[in-house]
Parts: sequence; structure tokens; C-alpha cells
Amino acid sequence: MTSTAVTQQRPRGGGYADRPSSSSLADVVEIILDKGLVIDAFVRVSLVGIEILTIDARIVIASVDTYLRFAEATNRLDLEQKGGKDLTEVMGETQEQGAKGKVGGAVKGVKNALTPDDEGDEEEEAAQKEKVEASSS
Amino acid sequence: MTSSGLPAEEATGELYLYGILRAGQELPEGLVGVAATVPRTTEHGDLAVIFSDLAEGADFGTPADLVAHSAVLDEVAEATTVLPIRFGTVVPSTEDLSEQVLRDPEGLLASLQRLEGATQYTLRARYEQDVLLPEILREDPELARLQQEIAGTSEDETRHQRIALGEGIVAAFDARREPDAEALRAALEPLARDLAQHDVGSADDVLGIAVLVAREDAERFEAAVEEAAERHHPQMRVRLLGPQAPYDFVEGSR
Repeated sequence: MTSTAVTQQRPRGGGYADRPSSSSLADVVEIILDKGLVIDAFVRVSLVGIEILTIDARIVIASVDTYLRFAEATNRLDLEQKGGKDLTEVMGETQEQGAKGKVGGAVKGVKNALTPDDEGDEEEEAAQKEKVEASSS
Repeated sequence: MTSSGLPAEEATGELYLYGILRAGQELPEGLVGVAATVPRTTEHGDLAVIFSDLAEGADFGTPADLVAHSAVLDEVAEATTVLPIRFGTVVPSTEDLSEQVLRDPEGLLASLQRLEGATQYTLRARYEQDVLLPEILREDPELARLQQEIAGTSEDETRHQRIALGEGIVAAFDARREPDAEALRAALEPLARDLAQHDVGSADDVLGIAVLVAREDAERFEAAVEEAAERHHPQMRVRLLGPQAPYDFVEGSR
């Protein structure tokens, strides 16, 4: 396989571990939204315009949608080996795996809604690229 | 400008809360809180609360506020031990601070004591799919055969094969995850005062875990993570957040 440049690159900082200098919104949502002391009756869960969901959505419920996405990812790899599409498409398509039914999809929706202007991490960029490619094809 | 000098009585509107720490400490300079406010502290006995005054009708609740909340806590945590309060906590008045927020001072001081001298890191490891998928196909001829079958076909044409292939791939991830996660965890445990493992969010996740590390071990811990990331490269991508406030190690958080 020749096209491993994207994924074989070292992350920012020169090391193998990715050390973001400031947490992306996606990180913050995952880490802090359900953490910390709860002062009874005073939590105003009011991220504007977005329903807050419990992070039970982290439980993996692999669905048919998940299987189809992974299968398609192997299809794309095959094309790549033949000099086909950009690898970032594969990454973008397969990064948002683990459809978790309604709840999981909504969590993803929360994250995407929260990061419209965010540079975000590679996943967000790749997912956006993939959407652009899909809409232009 | 220090942010601990103003008496709480001057706060006229609601109070947005960030966290709790020991009394008698200054906040770092230049903190920017939610709704572009400046956080400050108010003290009650041995404890202090970090808060912002929310002006009446303040536009609160944007994603930027979420980031500001954690930025304030992480910056404070660099200097001193702080108990994060859950995002979005607003109390109507300063009376609520002593009556509700600081209702159990012994318990809060005990938590602060437990977290003294420690910092949190959050690690997330995921499989690199373009490395793992070929590996999985190489190891399982049946999956490789299915992949051949679906090549060049549409989803409608080979739906059943695709579902079977996807199921097999997810099973392959599942089989790898536990030993791989355990190997990563074993690399972190020696330098951890405490760990809180998260549920995985997707099939290609390996491990999500919060680690409480003594400040004097922080450098060695970061080096251990870097070594583990190198060992598992290119199969895994490892992301490390921190040093940060101890979100996962406060009593009452999941």
C-alpha cells in the first residue's frame, strides 16, 4: 500500500502522541459535559438551541449502518490501492463509525452543530471533506 | 488585576459557577470566563468558589461558554487543586453559595485533600482504519473473499455481503480491543494515582481513559504515553489531553 502518507505522519508536536495545545470543542464536550460536582437543582443545561444528551451514547451499539460503512471503507481501500481516491475520504467516511441508533446520531449531531466553524481535529476536517466530495459527485 | 478582592455582595445578578478550591488563593491573571466575563472568587470559611457574575439577560449557553468553562478550570488547575463544578451551574444569589454549594465543607475539603498535588490527563486511542482494515482482511480469508465480492458493486447489489463483511470487521476490532486496551492501560498504571476508564464510543476506539497523576510524575507520565504511542504506531493513534482539572475524579461525577 503506497498511500499511507496521511496516516503515517507523526501528529503535531513531533511525537507519536497527539497533544492538542488547546482542547477542541469536540474534546471538551466529551470530557466535561457530564463531569464535575452537581449542585442539586442548579444545573441549567442550556447549550443554546441544542438538546443535551446523556453521554450514555458512548455505549457502542453497532448497527447495520456501521457494518455498511466499514464494508464500504474496504471498498475504498481497494480503489486506493489501484491509485484511486484520496485517502482522506476513507478516513472521513470511516471516522464517524459506530452509529448508535437515535441517541448516538444525535450526539454526533450535537458535536457537529457545536463545531460549525471549528477547525476541530482531523476527523472533523476529513468528514467535511468527505461531505463536500459526496455533494459534488 | 486580581480577581479575588471584590466582595460577593457586589454581585447583583446570577452567579455562574466553575469550581471550588481552598480559601486564600489568587486566581491566575487574565482568565476569561463564560459570556466574556471575568471569573473571581468568594470565600466561605476554608473554601472558595470560583464564579462569574452573569448580567441579567446575558446570552449564556454558547459552545464558546463550554470551552471557556473548561479553560478556566484547566488554568486554575495548573496552579492549585480545584474541584470542577458541572458545566451550566448557575445559582440565583450569593446566599446559595453557603447554603447549597458549600453545604458539606468537610466533604469538599476531603476531596480537595484527595486531589492535592495531582493533575488529570485524558487519553483516547483509536485504531487507524487504513492500517487495520487491510490487516483484518489479511488475517481472515472469508472477510477478504467478501471484500472481493463487493468490489465495484453498489450497496444495493451486495447489501448482504456488505453487512456480513462489516459484522466481521467489527468482530475483529472487538477481539483486538481488550488486549490492546490492556497493554495501553498497563503502560499508564505505574504512574497513575487513579484511573477512570470510559466506555468506548465507536468500533474503532481502543481506549478512553482519564488518569490522575501526581504533579511530580507528570513529565514521566507524558513520556510513557509518548512511548506507548510510538509502540502502537501505526496501528493506533493516541491523543492526550492535559494537564487538566480533575473532571473525572470529583465525587459525584461519572
